[in-house]
Amino acid sequence: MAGMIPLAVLLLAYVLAARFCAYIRPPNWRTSVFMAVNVATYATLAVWFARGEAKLVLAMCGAYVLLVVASFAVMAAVSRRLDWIAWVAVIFPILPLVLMKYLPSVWNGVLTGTHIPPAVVAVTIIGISYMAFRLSHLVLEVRNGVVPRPNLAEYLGFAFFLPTMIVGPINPYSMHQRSLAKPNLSSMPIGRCLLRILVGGTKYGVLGNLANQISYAGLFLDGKPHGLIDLPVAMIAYYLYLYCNFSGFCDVVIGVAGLTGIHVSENFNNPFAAKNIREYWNRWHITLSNYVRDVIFSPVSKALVRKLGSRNVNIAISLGILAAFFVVGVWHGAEWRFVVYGLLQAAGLIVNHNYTVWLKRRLGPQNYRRYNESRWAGAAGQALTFSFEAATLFLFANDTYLMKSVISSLSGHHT
Amino acid sequence: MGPSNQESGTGQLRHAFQNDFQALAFLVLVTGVLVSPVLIAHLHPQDRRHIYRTMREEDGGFSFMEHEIYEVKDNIDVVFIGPSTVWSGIDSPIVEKALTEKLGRPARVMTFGNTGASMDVPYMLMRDLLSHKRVGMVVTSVPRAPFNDGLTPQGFRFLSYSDPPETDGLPLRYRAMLYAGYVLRGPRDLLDWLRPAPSTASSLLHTNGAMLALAGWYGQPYTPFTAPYPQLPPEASIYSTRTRDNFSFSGAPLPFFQTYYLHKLCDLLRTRHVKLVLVSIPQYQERRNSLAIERLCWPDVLGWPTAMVGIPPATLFRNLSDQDVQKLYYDDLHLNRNGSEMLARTLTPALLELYANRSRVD
Repeated sequence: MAGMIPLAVLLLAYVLAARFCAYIRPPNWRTSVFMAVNVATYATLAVWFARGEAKLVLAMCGAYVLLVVASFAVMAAVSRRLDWIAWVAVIFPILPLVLMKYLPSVWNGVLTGTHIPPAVVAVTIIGISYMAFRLSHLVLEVRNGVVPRPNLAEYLGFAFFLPTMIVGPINPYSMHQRSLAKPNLSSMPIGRCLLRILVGGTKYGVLGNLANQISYAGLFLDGKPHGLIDLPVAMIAYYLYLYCNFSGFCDVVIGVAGLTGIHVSENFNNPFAAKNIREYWNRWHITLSNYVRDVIFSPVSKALVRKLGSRNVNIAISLGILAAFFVVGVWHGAEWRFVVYGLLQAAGLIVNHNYTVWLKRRLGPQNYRRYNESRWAGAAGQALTFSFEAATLFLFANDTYLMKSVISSLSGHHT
Repeated sequence: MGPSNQESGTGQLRHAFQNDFQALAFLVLVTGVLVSPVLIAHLHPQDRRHIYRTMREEDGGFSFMEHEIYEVKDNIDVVFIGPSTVWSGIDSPIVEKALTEKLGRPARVMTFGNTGASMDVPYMLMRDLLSHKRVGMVVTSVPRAPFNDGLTPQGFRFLSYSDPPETDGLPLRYRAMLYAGYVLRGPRDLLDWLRPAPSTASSLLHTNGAMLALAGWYGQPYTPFTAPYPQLPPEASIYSTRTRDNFSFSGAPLPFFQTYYLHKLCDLLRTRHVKLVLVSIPQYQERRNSLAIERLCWPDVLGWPTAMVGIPPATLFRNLSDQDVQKLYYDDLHLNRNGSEMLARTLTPALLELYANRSRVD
């Protein structure tokens, strides 16, 4: 416990230093100091968590910063081009993630060759998935003219913004930059930030852990036979656990970011209230949904509409959904279960989209509105959506070994 | 206020709660969670037997222990109790057979093992056992592996607010930790209240609860191997003024929490006049050591009724090559079936001697 005090002091110093940046008047100075504060704290934390090999850790941090600088250079070179080459800048930040997650033999070969301990790598490239997606989304925002192209300090300050480094959210650069360009600390009162941190911490540390006690791993790994009733219990408990864990962490991130004067996009908006799968993905991991919408779904479905004609717009949309959620699945991990999870979500969304189109045609605008306002239809949709999401998370929660354990204990066998 | 307020990046930070009702519901939920152990203890006090059914089998022979404590009426002569080194380290049926021959009646020697490196779980196991039957002698071991200064995952599943372990004299932070454990087990208790877990037949009945691991050295295939073992007179491996030079004490104390429950275990046995024997189980890396290594001189630390047994590893493995010794372990700390058989045969004379003289004050 006493060993955590320096860490707490460091984090407090970080928050104060980052908040101080809001008072620096020349914007260029502000962004430069903000970048320096974030990069320096990132490197210090990496050294702290590695617990040794400080020089190697710092060298690795330097290499990571250089990699991000390379992403910046690629973006600066090609992001404004109108041909396909602009997509190189979108894809470039994702390449290290692809190498690490999806080509483990190549990645491990590199690590083995350089004799860098895996623990050192783990603490230095922490949150690489979120970094990759944030930087690639940034390119799209620049290309679409949502924000002016950042300079290097702005780019690094965004990439290494500490609160969002580990588990996101995939905060859009536009939101980050507006907070930094025109600081408005009064929109993020300290009390409200602290309450977000407190509530988030309670969700993450207490409620999430409690739900996890009766989720799959908590319930089915006892080597004993289980009744069928335990399956829905574990499904719901895991869903609650994941929500409390992830949204709780995001609350903490948003609260801490608020203390530094930076707005971070909300990532959850009461997902259990969703009446259909489309609404669910607008409420659950919102920044990921927005990312795949902007980077995959919109370009793919637009291109398909152009190719197939406007009469086949629903086919184009369905294929766009399929592509987007295939990526969502793969992004979560290079395992078949994540791909199937993504495809199941896509199937649910495609069914929902085509059902909505069909229903609108069949009922007419007035009746369709009445149907949408019906409490019974809403409650049924809510229950169906909740059940579908809780059930499909079975694939997300369990690796093959755990799936076999769950199934065998349900069938009366035990290990 | 929804997330759209923030889209521009200049809107207000969203409140933690969307309205007062949500805030109140959250407060009630958190308060309910925090007082849940007290509520559950009053509304539906869980008996200790039920807890055994919710324990993971890979964490210990809990189904076996439930059966032995609550189903079997016969008393136990010797019980091996403790962490994984004890669970996998001593072939209790071998000791039982020898004791049966010596006593001229069926003896009962059982193993109550679990994987957690802690003394709170053995203490509670012993409390449960002694509240149901008599025990002649208890044998345990304190490994040189690191111990947590607090609850292990097994501990928080095993300790319940309905029938908690003693905490008198335990500093506040440990009591708070125990209470947090009771809170954490709340959902599982609630579930068991709604649909009680059934009793499960244990796969350890034929080994008297011992985990005789058919596992080779660090994942290698298991090779059956009968190692020659030193046939020592009983008094040669029992700690005494004559044999104290065979022992070496590292002086590494147990963390406070574990020391507390080791003393509790000893106090419990003392009040029931049950002998406690601490046995030194050698680690692989100690195989050429000419002294039996222990953390502390347990008879001095714990007093009566504690005895200590140990054989210098160099003596135990004197006719074995390193490769042969590896056939006795599945990792650096744990003996496999070969090793547990060898250690049981080696220690049995001393254990029988201590059992015969269990009421004697040494």
